[in-house]
This record gives sequence, C-alpha cells and structure tokens, in this order.
Amino acid sequence: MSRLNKNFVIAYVSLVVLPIFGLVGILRRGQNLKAPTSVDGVWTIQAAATTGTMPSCMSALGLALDTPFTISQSGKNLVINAGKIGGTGLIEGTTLQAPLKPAETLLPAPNCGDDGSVLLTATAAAKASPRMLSGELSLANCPSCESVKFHAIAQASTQKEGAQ
Amino acid sequence: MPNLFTLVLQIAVVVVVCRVAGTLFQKIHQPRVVGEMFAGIMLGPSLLGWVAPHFSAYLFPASSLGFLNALSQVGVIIFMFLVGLGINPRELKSQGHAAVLTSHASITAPFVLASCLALYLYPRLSDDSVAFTSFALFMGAAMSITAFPVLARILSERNMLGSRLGTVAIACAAVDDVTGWCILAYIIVLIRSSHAGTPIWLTLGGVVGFALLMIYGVQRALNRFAISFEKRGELSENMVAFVLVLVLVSALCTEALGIHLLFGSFLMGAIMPKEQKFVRYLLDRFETVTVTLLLPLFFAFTGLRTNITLVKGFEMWLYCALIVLVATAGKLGGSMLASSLAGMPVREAAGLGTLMNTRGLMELVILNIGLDIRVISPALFSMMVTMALITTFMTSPVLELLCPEEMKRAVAPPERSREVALNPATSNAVGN
Repeated sequence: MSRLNKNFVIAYVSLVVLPIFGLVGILRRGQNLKAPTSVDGVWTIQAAATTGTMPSCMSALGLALDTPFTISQSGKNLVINAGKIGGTGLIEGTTLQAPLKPAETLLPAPNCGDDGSVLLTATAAAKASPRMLSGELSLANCPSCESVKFHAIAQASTQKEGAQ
Repeated sequence: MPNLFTLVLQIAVVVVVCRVAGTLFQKIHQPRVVGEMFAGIMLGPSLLGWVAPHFSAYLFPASSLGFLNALSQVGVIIFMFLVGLGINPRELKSQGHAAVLTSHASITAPFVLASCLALYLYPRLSDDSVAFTSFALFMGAAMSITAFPVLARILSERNMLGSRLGTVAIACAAVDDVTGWCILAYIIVLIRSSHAGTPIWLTLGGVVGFALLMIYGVQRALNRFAISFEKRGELSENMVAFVLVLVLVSALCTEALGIHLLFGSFLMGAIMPKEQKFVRYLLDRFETVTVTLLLPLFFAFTGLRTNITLVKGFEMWLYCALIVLVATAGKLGGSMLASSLAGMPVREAAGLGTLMNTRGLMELVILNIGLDIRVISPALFSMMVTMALITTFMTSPVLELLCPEEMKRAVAPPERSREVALNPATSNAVGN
C-alpha cells in the first residue's frame, strides 16, 4: 500500500468509520432518556357528568365545551388554543398547568374575579389509548366561582404525513 | 373551495415581499434566496403576526393555509427535480481521495455532533411520542445537509466554479445531499412503518426496488429525450409535459412506497440525461414559474410555521445558540479538518468548510418534512430555521474574508472542471 493510500485509510477510519461507531453508542445511550409526556394534538373536551355545562363566568371569557383544545407541544412547553381563549403552559411529569386568557381584552364579568383568566390543570393518563386528560378549569383569583371538572380525549392525529 | 380572493392576494403579497427582500439582500452581496427566506419569516407570526396580528389574520387566515401549502409543495417537488437534474453521477464517481474523505467526513462530523446534542435536547424539546433514535437521526440528517444549489450560486457569483476549491465543494455538496436524503428516507420509513404497522424491510425493499428500476430501466428510456433534443434542438410541448408527468408519477410512487413525494422527484432529476444543453433547456422550461412564484410561496409557508416567539427565555435561546454552534462546528469544522488532512492548504480548507456550511433552502425542505411527521417540535423547528438562516447568511462574508483572489484563480484539473461545468446550470435556476 502506498504512503498516500495508507494516510487516506488512516484519515478515513479516524474521521468517518470511528464516528459511525460513536453514533451507534449515542443511539443506544439515548434509549434510556425520558422525554415529557406527549399532550400535543387536538383534544375534545367533555365536562364531568355532575356539571355538564360551562359556568357563566367562564362562558363570558369565551370558553365553550364544544370547542376543542389544540395543544402545541415543544418539550415541556405548551401553547394551548381553545377558540377565543388561549395561552402558554407547562407539563411536569403527567401534570399540565396553563393560565388561559381571552384573545381580546375583555372586562371581567361581575362576581367573576378580577383577573379575567382561566386556570387549566389536568393530568395525562399514562399510556392510555386514545390518549386522555382529566382535570379542572377554574377562574383565577375567584375562589368562590364555580370550577368545571372535565375529561378530554385526543382526536385522531391530524398530522399531514404524506399529505404535503 | 379556496377563497380565491384571499389566495390571489396572498400570492401577490408573497411574490412582492420576496422579490423586494431578495433584491435588497443582493445589494449586500447575499444570494437572493437568503433574502427570500428572510421574507418568508417576516410574513409569519415572528414579525407580521406579532406586529400586526389582525392584518396577519386577515391575510393568512388559518383556513386558507392548506391551499397555500399545496401550491408551495408543488413548487418544492419541481425544485427537487431541478436539484436532482443538477447532480451528475459521473462527477461523483470521478472524485479523488481528498473529495471522498472530505465529503464523507462532512456528513459524519455534523451527524455525530448533532446526535450528541440530541442527547441534551431530547428531554427538553421533544416528547415521548417521538423515539430517541428518530429524533437523533433526524437532527443528524438536518445538520449534515448542504444547500447544493445555493452553494453553486455563491461559487458562480464569485467566479469560483472552475477553481480547485469550487470543484471540490460542488462534488462534496452533491455527495452530502444524496447521502442526507437517503438517511432522511430511512428515518421516514422508520417512523411511518411504526405508525402504519408495515414491516420496515418491506418498505425498504420496495424503495430499493423502485430506485433500481429507475436507474437501470427508466434511465435508458429517458435517453430518447436527449436524442430527440439533439436532433431538433428543442423538445415539443408534449415532451416537456411528459417530463413533468414523469416527475409527478415518480413522486407519487415514492409517496405510495412510504417515503415522501420529494424523493421521487429528486430521483427523476438525478437519472435524467446530463448533456449540458439538454439540462439547460429543461431548466429554462421549469425554472421561471418555480423560482418566481412557487418557491416564494414555500418560503412564506415555512415562515408561517416558524414562530420565533416560541423561543423565549434564556434557556430556549441557549438551546438555539447550541444548535447554531454544533451545526457550524460539525459542518465547517469537519469539512475543514478532513480537507486539511487530505492535503488542502488551511485557508482553502476553511473556505471549503464555510461553503459546506451553507444550508439554505434544502434545510427548510427537510425541516418542513420533520415538522410534518412530528419528529421535531414547533419550537425546535423555529430554532433550526434560525440556524439555517444564520449559517446560509454567514457564508458569503466569511468566504470573502477567507478566500483571497489567488485562491479563486487556483484552477481545477481540466477534466474535473468540465464535469463540474455541467452541474452549475442548476445554480442559476434555483440557487438564486
């Protein structure tokens, strides 16, 4: 083997072959990593049987049970959109929390607290199929206001795989 | 039915904004495509949607985006055909040791570094619906891609196409793109197989079978186009339409096989006859509408999906900075190291690394696929788009610093120069 070829082989092994082995190691190591629970997608909301309707204070802010929630997830950061109301939140473990505000500034209705926002708290059911959330919608800064317990079911994936 | 008034208004606004931004960027010695990429971002929630949300909602209502996307994807299908058309397999075969080492190292270095970064980013920017392997491989493929057409355009503008540096850069970029797309195809097969329940070997077997059929069967039939062109000096309108149909059918085949429309159009371009006048003729037929109308729509659609406001807080900007750093270190550093070990002078090797670090439009295409198949999250998509913009933007000024006039005049051996001269026809079309 000529000196040139020998150098080429050494350089090729060092810069190409060995890194590929390194990649295999990285991929194996990554198998043990845990990413946040997935809540990304469109969720159909159902109020718990005991309540059934949205309290007037929440309706006044634009919340409606027939409007699905769209959650866009980037790690533990969430962007939630529910028609006229939305906001950003976080998921820690299986618990998600997000303060939701109307898209347009509204004056709070009388006896509905002074904050004009709704706190969404929910827990994702681990490994359920279809994915499920159960939680509560409550008015911020209004302990006397009625809250709504709900269940939510993830709609079939709306991703555009292959539909580009 | 689309609201035609809204759609036509969108197209008009997008075309005007992209042309203006492209012209302005040309004035600061940037390729037009960089300006158009920025224009797309400006039209999205990162600027227009943030500054004038009501106007943005009026101009780009959510219900209209499907039509805009469909048009833009047709543009990308033709664009990928043109990119494939510019890749000359003869050139890939004729590479010297230096180019082989550089091109392969310029893939493995960013790929491995990106996978290391994936170990850090996966728990922070992904979720448990995405397997780590898919996430890491996608990050690797996205960081190892080079914008072949943009790079060729930069070289052309600097009169460096026939230089030693330009020749090696074009060859390496072509290898990188072909390899990068093969890896991406594998990732898509991996993800879709797990969703659809189809055995991965079946999908891979189908893809390999289709590629072999195209290379050893269809390619021979395509030579009739070149023969007809040689005789008449042009193709009839029917023949041009037939080429277009072949591109679309090939795209549909790869989509049906479980990879993606774009692979089919790229493959069709790659197996087309490579006679220079023929390539130029086809480009003339396809480029105008693609470059002036359809690709700007793709930039706008990408901009509408890019939301820089998702990258907020020190932590998120740190991730973004890490992505730019790792992408640059892997691509620029890896190519530079390999080419200097292969005997290229350090300054020239640094120039090559800078050129290979150009990601441009190809990166946006890959990132959009990643977001569609949900292997990356919206925030990571925005960070990666930022990385694509920065690495593409930095190419021209850094190259200006690194490459003195004598380097531009260092001419490649005649055979290689001739081979390369076939390719950059594409650069004028899609790398503008």
